[in-house]
Amino acid sequence: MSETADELILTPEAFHALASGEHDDPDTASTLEDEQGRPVLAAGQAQAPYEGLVSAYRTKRAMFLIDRADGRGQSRRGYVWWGPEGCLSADQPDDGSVRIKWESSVARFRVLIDLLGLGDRPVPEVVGDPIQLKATMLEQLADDEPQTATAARTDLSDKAMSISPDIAQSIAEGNMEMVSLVSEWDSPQGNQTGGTVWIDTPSGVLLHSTERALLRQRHLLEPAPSWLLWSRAVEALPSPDIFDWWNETS
Amino acid sequence: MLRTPPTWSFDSSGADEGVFVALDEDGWAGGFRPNILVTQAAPEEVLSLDHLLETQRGLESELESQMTDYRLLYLWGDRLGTDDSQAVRRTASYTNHDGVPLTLNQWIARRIAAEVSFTLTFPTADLPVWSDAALMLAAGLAWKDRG
Repeated sequence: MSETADELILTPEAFHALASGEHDDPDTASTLEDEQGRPVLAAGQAQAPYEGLVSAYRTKRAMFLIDRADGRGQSRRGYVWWGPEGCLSADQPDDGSVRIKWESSVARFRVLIDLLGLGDRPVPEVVGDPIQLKATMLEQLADDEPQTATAARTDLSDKAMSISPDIAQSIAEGNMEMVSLVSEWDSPQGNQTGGTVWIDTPSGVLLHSTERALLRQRHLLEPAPSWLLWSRAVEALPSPDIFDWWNETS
Repeated sequence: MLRTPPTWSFDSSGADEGVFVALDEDGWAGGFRPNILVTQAAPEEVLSLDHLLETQRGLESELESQMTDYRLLYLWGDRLGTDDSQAVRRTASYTNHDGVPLTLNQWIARRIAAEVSFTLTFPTADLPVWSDAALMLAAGLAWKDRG
């Protein structure tokens, strides 16, 4: 094995413990093993060949969570941790082991594109006004109870019919994903957050936005070109001067 | 006719081959200088937008093999220039030889007299500043067909 590992494979349980922050602080003297039972942390201290990877994780200044729900009760979550020592990423399927990759900061955009499932999508013909919906519909779409998710998906498909019959049909056939990105990072002004949500189908994309109504927020979905998703995703990340600030304060 | 920001430099040394480059004097993220590449060529035939799109799709595997971490984000119809000419737009992400992640926005339009491509490239980290500028620059391209 090489001296420095740029990959760490964990059991689902071990990954869950890591992702929920159990090993963030060396003083908690926690223990972590890789999938093959080799020590990653012993008494909170990183073990060879994982020192670099663990250090990159512990010095992270930003986290991006990417959720992709299929509207049938299945979902997967992608993780990106980013800081002065590089970018760590993991794609967690519903079960099975989880592979964490450690790469240079340069990789962060490619990692994000792949975890978001971004790609070329057609722009459908738009026949009506943006869809108005309740925020709970998006929550139900991502529900792990298949009946709840499917009911929300049927409801969404019905609504989508009035703006894009092509997208509505893809949604009805279960040919869709609700993709959400949530980001959080450390800045001179304290913790900052960002995020965006869209419905991805092979027929095109519905991008989520909110509008201030008199007393509440109105949730809208409307067809968008796929390049706009890339803009929204990048806008939800810390800007270059924040990265400079991390380096100055690390 | 292309209006670039006043501080940009302009290189027309490739004019004989129909290639023009405009370059920002300032380096942005990773020291990369955002730039516009305009090419003009006499097309063999006039193509419909669907055919043009098909031609561009045919180039994807080559782009993928030539560019590091190339990811296509959009390849579909759009508009280009002051007269809203039908065009194919490509948006893609890649990393250059200096390790700077970049976003490329390219419009290709074919008219009777010429096939024109307009490519604006900038560091992805600076995208929030550049994405609106990209649309404005592409919309401001003016056609000047000869006779």
